[in-house]
Amino acid sequence: MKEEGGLKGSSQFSRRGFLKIFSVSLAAISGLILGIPALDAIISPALKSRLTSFSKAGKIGNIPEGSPVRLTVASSAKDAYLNDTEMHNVWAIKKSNSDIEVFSPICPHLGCSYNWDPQKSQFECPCHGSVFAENGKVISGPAPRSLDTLPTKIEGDELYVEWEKFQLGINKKVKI
Amino acid sequence: MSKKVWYWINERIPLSSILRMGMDEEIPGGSRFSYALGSATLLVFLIQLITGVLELFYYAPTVDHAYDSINFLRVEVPFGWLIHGLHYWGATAMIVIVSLHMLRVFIWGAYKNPRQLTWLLGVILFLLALGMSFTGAALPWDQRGYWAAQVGTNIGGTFPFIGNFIKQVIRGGSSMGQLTLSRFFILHVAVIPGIIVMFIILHLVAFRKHGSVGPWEEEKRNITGQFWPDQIFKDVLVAIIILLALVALSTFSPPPFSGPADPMDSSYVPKPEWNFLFLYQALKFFPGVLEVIGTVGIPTVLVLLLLLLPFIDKNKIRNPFKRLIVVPTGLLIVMAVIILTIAGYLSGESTAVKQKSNSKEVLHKENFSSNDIRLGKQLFTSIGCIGCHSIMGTGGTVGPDLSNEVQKGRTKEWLIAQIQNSKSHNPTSIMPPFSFLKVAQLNQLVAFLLTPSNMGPGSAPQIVSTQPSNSNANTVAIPDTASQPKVDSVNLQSAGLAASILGSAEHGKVLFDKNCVACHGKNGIGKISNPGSATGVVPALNPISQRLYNKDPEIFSKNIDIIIQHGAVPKGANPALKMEAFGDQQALSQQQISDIEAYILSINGIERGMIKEPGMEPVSFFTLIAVVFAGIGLIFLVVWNVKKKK
Repeated sequence: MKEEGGLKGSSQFSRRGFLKIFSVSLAAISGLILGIPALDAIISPALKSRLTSFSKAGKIGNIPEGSPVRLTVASSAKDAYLNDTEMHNVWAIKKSNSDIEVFSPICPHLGCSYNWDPQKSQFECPCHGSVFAENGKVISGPAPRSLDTLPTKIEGDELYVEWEKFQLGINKKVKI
Repeated sequence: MSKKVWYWINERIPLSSILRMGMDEEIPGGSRFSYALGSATLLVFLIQLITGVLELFYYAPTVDHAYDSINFLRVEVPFGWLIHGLHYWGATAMIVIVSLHMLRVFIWGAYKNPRQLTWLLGVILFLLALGMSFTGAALPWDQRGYWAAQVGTNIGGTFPFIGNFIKQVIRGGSSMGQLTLSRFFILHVAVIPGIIVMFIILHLVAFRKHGSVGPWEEEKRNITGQFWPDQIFKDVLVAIIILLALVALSTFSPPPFSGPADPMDSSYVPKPEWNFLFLYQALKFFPGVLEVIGTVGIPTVLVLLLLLLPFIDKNKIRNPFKRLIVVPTGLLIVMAVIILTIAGYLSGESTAVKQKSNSKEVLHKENFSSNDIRLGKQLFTSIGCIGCHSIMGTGGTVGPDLSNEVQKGRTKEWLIAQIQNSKSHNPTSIMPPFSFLKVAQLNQLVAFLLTPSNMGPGSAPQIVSTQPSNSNANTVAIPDTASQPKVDSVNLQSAGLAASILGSAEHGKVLFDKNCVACHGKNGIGKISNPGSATGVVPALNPISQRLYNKDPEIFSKNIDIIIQHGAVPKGANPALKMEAFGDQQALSQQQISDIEAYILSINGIERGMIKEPGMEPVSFFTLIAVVFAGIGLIFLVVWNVKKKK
């Protein structure tokens, strides 16, 4: 780089123009090299769906047959760097030892917790009055779809439930 | 169209004249690479700003989550390794480049009239950069940062009269804790950077007002170069070299995992950030009451010298070869700082050694009580002496029989030295150092060794004997590679907190050598005999049982965590050695257990801090950008030569 200030006339003009183009393009490429990883770091973790896994819900023998019962599921959700064990109540209906249906406790309308009315044999949501049958179908009220079922697994004498959440207020059951 | 937009904007804000003010400048003597240091500093500041903001997307400034959140960024966020690596190495680069920039200004005499204020603003920026380095190091709340902040604030506490006040205000209380982290956090991400931006603007305005100082030789000043593009082109080239160097460092020398902060852990030897090492080393020359000279005196003098330089050295001569007092004095100080930094870097465990020799002096001299003898007998089993040595016919055969120590003429002092560090008597001794024993425990052990008694059935360690007789139900069957025991009992208890903390393998080794080596052998190789157990030896950890091994560092940690937390009893009729429940008994903190787990993983070839979501493998990423820049460089050279020939 001995040319400093030593060039004159038209050659100086082209040399300067040349340096300008290179400076700008080098800076732009450096920006891309750092910019793409930066965007990736911000965006892709946000698009990843949270991993769920089956957790124990209780011994099948202990669940009464017939009417719905509330079971407690401890889901060990990993929320970024927090290892939390969340407790959830789910509704389980045992028809036989090999046929157990489990409903999410969240009303598909706007997310309230609904209750079982043993007298009327129906689920009722206290917030907006949605009523569901024992099989989860909507009987009346504003709920857009049936109660959401949760994946279950039976291993030996043990019932496992996978805790999942679904979008609210729409006709289809879409996992979040 | 673009001209129209440009025109429209300039009618409203004078963008084009601002640009012209920043770009159009004549540089006396032409552009030079050595002038690129100022803009390189600005570049590194921008890198720190961008990577710092990106880190904030994930960082949580609380003492219980700071460490985990940074590790989540490093291990599980795509390019998190790059973001954290650039920020970590950028901090180092910042101090280096600022120092070189100041040194150049000093040698060129560029601080002289009329540029005194530019220099002053620059010195303040330098001090602010040191403040960023000090506050930033503490934020991950790892061992390194925690202890650096602890010692650093203590140094502030040595300030005469108001020291304690300063210390408490910086810490947000009398001791280190959440409020300390909150203060360091807000200083690091808002207060200091805000002030820095203001001072950068002032520094640049002052610089533009008087322009570059140029060479000191009059004849060279006649030629001039343009700032844009001549100097900027050189600045960009330097910037790319710095960027490549930072990516290379992040790839090939990533920041260490120094383990979670553990205020209880006395085995960690704290050292300051490298840029404060010279002060740390200088402090050693000022013991006792003189300490305040090192902690307050020297830094104050150095800062005053920097601030007052343009007012002390008012002579107009800029040629460094003609400034016979100022330049050699300045260079001497720089040399002293560099030498002290290197000495500080190389200096090791001086404080740890001192502590050890002290502990010898305070040993009690009275006769052994029967209680001491009894406790010593328990220790003989619980810390694993019995694995290698036998007394009165019970114990291992790896080491000599210890039934007749009095007859051998052993004194209390000799035995204590032997237990703490057997190599002091015999350099080839394979006996591990039991340096973790407290003075009282040493006394008890020696009391037992000098008045030995039969190792009866009651010799099992207290902690184990308090468990119910069917203790196998509560503890885990010790893994054993030979016979692959059933794993059912493992599920009875779960992994503790330590399994999810990313520990430091390096510090884990220190802790392992203190707490585990007696039974599991040096480097976990095993081969320590365990009379009465089914296999006759303590299981090796290197290599570890296939049942516990896992390629996923988190699962691997969880597997061994259960045993370290809750202890284990080996199979066999009456095993002499049992695994203590280090977690349940709080013999080790969760932080320490996480470090030991990282070490056990490392001797089995698994890195605890393995990157799960790199975005792109670090080495591939570095190769890619190196190739891209090399390609551009090649194109540049070809076009340059073709144009030249025309």
